[in-house]
Amino acid sequence: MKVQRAVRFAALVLLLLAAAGCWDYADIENRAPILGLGFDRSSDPEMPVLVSAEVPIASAVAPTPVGQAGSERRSPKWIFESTGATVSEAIDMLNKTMARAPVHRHIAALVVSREIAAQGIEPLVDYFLRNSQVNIRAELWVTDGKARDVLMADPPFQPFVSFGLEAALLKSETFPAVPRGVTIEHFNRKIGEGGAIVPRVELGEGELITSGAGVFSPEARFVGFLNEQQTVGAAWFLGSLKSAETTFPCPVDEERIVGVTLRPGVRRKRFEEAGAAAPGASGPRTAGPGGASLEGASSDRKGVDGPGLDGAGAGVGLSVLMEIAGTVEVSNLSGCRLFPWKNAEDRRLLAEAAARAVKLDAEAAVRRAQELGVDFLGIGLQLSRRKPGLWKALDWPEIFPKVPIDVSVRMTVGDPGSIHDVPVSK
Amino acid sequence: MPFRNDNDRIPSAAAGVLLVTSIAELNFVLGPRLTVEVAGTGAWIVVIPAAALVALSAWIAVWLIRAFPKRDLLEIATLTLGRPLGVLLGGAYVVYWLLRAGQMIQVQTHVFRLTLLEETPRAAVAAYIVLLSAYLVAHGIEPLARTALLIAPAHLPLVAITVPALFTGDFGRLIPIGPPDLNAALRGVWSVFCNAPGVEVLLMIAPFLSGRGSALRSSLYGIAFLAVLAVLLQIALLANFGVVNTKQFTMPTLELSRVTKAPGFEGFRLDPVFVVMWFVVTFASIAVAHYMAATAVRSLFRAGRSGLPVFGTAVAMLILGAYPIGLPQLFEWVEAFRLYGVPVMSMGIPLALMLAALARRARGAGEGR
Repeated sequence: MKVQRAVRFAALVLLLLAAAGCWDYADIENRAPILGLGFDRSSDPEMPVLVSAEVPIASAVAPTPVGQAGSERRSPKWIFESTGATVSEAIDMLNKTMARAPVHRHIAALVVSREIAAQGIEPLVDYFLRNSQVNIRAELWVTDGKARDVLMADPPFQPFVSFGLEAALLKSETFPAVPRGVTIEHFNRKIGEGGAIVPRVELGEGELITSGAGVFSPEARFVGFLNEQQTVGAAWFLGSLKSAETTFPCPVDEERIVGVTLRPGVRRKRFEEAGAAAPGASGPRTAGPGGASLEGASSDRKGVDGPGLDGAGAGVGLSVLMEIAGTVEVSNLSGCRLFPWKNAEDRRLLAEAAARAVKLDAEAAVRRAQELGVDFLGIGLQLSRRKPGLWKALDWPEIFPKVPIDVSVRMTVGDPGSIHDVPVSK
Repeated sequence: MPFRNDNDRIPSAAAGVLLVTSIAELNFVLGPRLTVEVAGTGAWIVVIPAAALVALSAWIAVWLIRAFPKRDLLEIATLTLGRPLGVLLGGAYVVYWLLRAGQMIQVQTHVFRLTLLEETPRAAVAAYIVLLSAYLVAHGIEPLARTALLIAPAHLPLVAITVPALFTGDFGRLIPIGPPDLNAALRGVWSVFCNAPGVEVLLMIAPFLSGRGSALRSSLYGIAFLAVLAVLLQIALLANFGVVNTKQFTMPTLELSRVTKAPGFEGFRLDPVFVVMWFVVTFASIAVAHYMAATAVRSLFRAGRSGLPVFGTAVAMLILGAYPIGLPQLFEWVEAFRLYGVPVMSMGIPLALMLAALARRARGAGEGR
């Protein structure tokens, strides 16, 4: 019996040693977590991919012990660089200069320079999707300058650029000039559905500026940037914002500029074939119960020549009606004599003006999408779902840049969103 | 070895728990891709008729249990088909359960290697799984049923990745609603049914059911629970990845766990939690398959209270589970095995036994009346 017990005990100890998962153990001081990666084009044609990695220095960001005076400020990070013929080789070559083993599971940001993005980032997406050890929730950014310079920046509030960029995306739903963050997996899906937009970051006067977006074609190739208005318009179109600050002339006094915060609740898009001669609808609609409504004026692009959805010339275009029900919270009436709390007509006037402002932004996004020839707004995708019969007959990439697209906005306002209704100026 | 002693009793409700454990295994990880491949956007709809097929299999099993009280599958086969055929069927089931357990160990160790333990040899992980399983099985059905009940919360991470994914998905990706045609719909239903093995567990635990409550009712609750989870998961996968990407991922559920962000857990990666917790579910399925194989071997060889059947089957499982095979080849093998093996073993043979019992009943011979 003693022998049997000894054998059992030995077997248990062996099992604990062999199967406890410690085969992968490595001390933290032998690992280097990468927080962000930058991708640039190198000057070496044999090794065209230049990778920069932002790696934290733990001791530099450790809090100073109480009672001990802070010493001179030390950079909280190292930027490592390497080149390679492929993305995977360039990342692997980081090992040449990093004494520790790089850990890719904490990557928060991937910054791609315009130069390399214009060649297509499919190899980058491929690397991340295939590699189970990297964080595929890392978010993509595009820059007109050098990705390395962006990672070298010293952002306020955050010791690391990657975390700063991550934080910037948290406010995209309320500050839509920064588009919603795009993970590698999301990017891969969006380009498969017509095109993707990726947040833009630039380095200006030593500061990181996050606004606007880069547009990528279905081939994952960068084709151009969106300005702030186009980015906000895309957010309205894609329904990716919770609120947006906007300004427009006072409906009863065009000299005054009104500031409002639009908080859309229910949003709906309708896609209809429309004759180019009379696309969409125009003029005000009757007010809905408890609020005002408006259908924005029809597009200025009436009668634009193009192949049309009928494929036979300028006959048929596409009408997109955005129906938005929500709140127009007046943030700055600036002497505009409106009383949205008391007066339903004033609410209707504000809704009309807000709808016109949204329509301008959305039209700017649609026009830019057509200029670039990339349907990042998913218009074709919606058409394929709603009109599958029509869709099958279309060569969408061919006709998208030219087909007349009319955008209308109808806004229904439930309440003015704030408790004050007295203009400051008398 | 406490087989079939007075303490080895489980309530009928445990049948549902063990059925869920037996069916769940790796199917939520492997099954969705296979169904989407054949049924496209209708992959979530075909789960419902497939669940009805599984319920029909459970009904057949419970019919046999009621017709042959306190008999297990092998004894029923011997009674209805005669000793030679009964032994043959028993042997076939032993091979089937060992292969299933081996497949689960293979896939699970590959998933660990890919996601958590790159350096650890698969054989070490397989040994760990098999030894734990042997320990559990050696103590009989009651601890196994308790373990199955205790690990029920391990399904929660699946819910934790599915529900937030329903909010981030684009339901337009479910259009057109339904499979492309009747052929695709039928193939989809078959795919889901083939990926729900293990109904025969009811026939192996039958002698241990205490008789309180209804085994059929608890089984149907279990099947409904799995069906709801499967429908929600398919919708979440399609809404997030669409048909094209769901087909491209070898294990789309794992990918969903990599991209999902649960409210309140911004920046918190759910995939390691999901992998570990789902391993617990898979481990319980492995233990149930091990239990069935060991019990059948014991019955075939009339091994009494010897521990050899448990440890003999454990060695077989270890060899099958640790055998060096690449993941693509393993997937091909698993898919083909399930396509043909599961319908026969879950429904085909129990149905044949039911028909044979009815024939015996018509002749008025012996048990089964």
